[in-house]
Amino acid sequence: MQVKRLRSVLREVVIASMAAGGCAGNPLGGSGPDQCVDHKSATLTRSDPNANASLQLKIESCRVDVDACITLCSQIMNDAQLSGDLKKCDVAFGGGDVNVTVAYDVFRDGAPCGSIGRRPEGLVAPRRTPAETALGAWFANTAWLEASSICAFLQLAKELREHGAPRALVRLADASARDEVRHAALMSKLARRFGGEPPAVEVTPPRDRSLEALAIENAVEGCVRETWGAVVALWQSQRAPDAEMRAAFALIARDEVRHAALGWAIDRWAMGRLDHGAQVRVALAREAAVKALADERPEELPAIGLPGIAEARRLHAQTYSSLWNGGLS
Amino acid sequence: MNKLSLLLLAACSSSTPPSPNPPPPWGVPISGGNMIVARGGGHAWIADADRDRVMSVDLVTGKTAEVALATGDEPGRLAEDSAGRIHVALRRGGAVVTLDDQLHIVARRLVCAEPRGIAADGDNLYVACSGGELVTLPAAGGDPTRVLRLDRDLRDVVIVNGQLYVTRFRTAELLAVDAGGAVTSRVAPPIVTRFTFDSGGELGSGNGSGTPVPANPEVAWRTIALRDGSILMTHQRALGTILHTTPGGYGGQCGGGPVEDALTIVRPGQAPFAALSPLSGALPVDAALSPDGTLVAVVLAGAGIVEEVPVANLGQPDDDPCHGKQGLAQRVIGDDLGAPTSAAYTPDGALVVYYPELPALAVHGAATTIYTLPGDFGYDSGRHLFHEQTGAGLACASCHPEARDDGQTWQFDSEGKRRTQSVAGRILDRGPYHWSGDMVDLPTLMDQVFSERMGGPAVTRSQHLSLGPWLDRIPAPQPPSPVDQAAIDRGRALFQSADAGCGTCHTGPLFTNHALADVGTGGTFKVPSLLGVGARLPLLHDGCATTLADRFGATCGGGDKHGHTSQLTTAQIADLVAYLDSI
Repeated sequence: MQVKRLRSVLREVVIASMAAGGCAGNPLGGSGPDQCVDHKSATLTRSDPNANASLQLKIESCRVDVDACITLCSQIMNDAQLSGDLKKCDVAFGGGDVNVTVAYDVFRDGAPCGSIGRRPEGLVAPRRTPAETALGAWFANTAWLEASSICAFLQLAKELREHGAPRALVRLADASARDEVRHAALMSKLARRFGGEPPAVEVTPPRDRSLEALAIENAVEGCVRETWGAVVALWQSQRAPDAEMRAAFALIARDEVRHAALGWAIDRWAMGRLDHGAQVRVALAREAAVKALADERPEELPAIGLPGIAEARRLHAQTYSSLWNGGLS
Repeated sequence: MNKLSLLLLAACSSSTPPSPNPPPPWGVPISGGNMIVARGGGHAWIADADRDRVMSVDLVTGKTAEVALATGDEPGRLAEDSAGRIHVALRRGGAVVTLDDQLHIVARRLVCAEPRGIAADGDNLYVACSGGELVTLPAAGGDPTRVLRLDRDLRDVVIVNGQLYVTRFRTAELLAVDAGGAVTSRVAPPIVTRFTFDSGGELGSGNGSGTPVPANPEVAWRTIALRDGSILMTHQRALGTILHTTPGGYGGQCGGGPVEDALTIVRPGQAPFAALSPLSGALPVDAALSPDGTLVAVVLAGAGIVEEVPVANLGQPDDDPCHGKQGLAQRVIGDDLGAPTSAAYTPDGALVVYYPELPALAVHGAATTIYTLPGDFGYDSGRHLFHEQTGAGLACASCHPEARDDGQTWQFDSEGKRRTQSVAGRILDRGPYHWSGDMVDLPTLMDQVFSERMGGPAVTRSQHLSLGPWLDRIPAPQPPSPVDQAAIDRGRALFQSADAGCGTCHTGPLFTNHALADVGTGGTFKVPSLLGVGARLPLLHDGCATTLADRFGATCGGGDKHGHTSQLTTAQIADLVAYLDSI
């Protein structure tokens, strides 16, 4: 599928969904980050601060430097099996005890994001650093996804080479990796602007895979997730309330359309080399991924222009009828 | 105030909040390799560089004993001789101190301005110095029996089957020295190829070629002998990539940065072999070999971890364009006790790791035991930031190892070539910073370089306040002992002469007037301090002078726009070089 044609289709998807839902209204009004996070607080006391050397290090650091207390609060929260985005921590030492009062946000549906972008095989779940805000957490997670896509595309290029794919596909995969470096940097910058810190990307070593396995992964990650990522980024490039964000998402949308087109091109090339049984399994995997995407509850963060639940449903339906249902293949 | 006092104070107070202001500077730059386990296996010996003491720790009971050294001695590498004496190189004390097994100091011998590596072999001790001296001492005591003058920046001493090797720190070279004191071979880790990306982080940039680039060996943190007679070096590589000054601009390379960790194996008579690295962290400052020779533990101070790798897994060539490596390590140890600096094995295979801040010792045997050691709690948020690796996989100390420099000249997108500048030597008196003086102060530099370009977290107020005072305590490199004092004196006179004019700009205790000047070297730059200039080749903003003499050559240095030296004879230039090498 040509990039130009796919871009045109996806723009139509976005425009159609916007028209159906109406464009009026303040994008920051109505639902906000509070709709997807719960604000919580807790007061915790450790009476055995010297029982654990690691905790002792954090206590001593916090005692002499208030800026170091965040790591102490995080550990005490972890020890108390509390998790969330730490927003505030107050520490007091008294009578041999350490008293910590924390305020933190919890996403109602667990970790934010997760449905866009190409992920490499063997991607290890991130060790997240608590973010100061929900937006910071969203951008940090997105930066992590973008960074993981770097390895995904490098891995893809390597495997395409090994499977004798046309040089143009390999080059496009390499180029996509470079795009993702920029995306990761953009998202990291926005994450830090909102008090988030992208986690490091860890990937277990890739194994040699059959062409069918590659095709199945591409169907899920390229034809579905990258395509959905392009749709969402196009939406955000129109709906994000902030000029910097809109510009960032416009750049990302441009690249993601190209990545999605690459996914579809690989799909066409690989399907032509697979036997009938394998072709069916690839198609089934793609359908399953489309369905899984429909079942996911989208995050509601209009402060970054994300589509709401109803809007996401419309976008999904439009994309399905225009693309995933074989409309253009 | 020690920990007990703090705890008592806390117990007596009703409620004490954390201190709003950071404490005074603490600690020295991490060098690594500050611990051995004595052959008997019962005790670890720790050279506590941050507290100027040597400590022994009973690895079964945790009982400790210590001996204080002079303030500022900065004990570093240790070696045990055949009689069980422990010898410690004092990095700033300029000496080797020898202790018996009861921790009594039996000798303190001056060796050179900056001792670094030390090894015992038979009756002899060998001490490598950053000034280039390789000093032989009788292990039992007494004056040096031989002083060789090799290249500057010597690091480790390794003896394999009677053959003496020394490494150089920033170039990561391995020199073989024969019995007569001659250097018979000189090898460096191979250059490998990496696939890199244009890493411009801002909109509209980032149209780079993404072509393969060389990853050049540098900064040999630690070198040890393996069981089969080969030598293992933990070092860094600097990627020949273009750096951007935009957010995330030091990123790229499959999620990593322009500096990577590396392992090189040198087998006698063979070319050095770049092993596919299992490491995943900055600052590989120490390495230890298990007693059966099958495992290597590498301390990654920047990541706060120790990775234990089967030696058998180091046989794969490092030909992965993405520095791919996961899965080769057998065990990753993260004790969460701050930055580790040193590791050693006991004879029965337990891995001992030293953490200086608390301070603490972790013994990883069948079970893990953590010993909290006596000593004031060590905390400095500036020091912490300096060694903390960012999302780009590099720390400040990656390019400024031991708070000096990496010897690299980097290519920037907008500025061109820029030689890494040393941060040692009265940094607070040397602002504004960078070659063009565009960083008005250290907090600005920290925000723009650490948080933005390196992709690090936001710098805290405490870190803003602490890094400068911490760095300011680090002296400029000391010159080697003079070879020809008369030449130095003649060179000084020339330097200060009105005719040569060097002292016009390179004036005062720092040898700089802090001005911006165009001296014909390709732009307007800050007059750099010349303190320790002989220890940081190559020189000038583009690194064109690979020797001090090169600066006075026809193609590099600015000619007579940069002082007036074209009239000087070859002998006078040599005198000037001797003087510069002595400051």
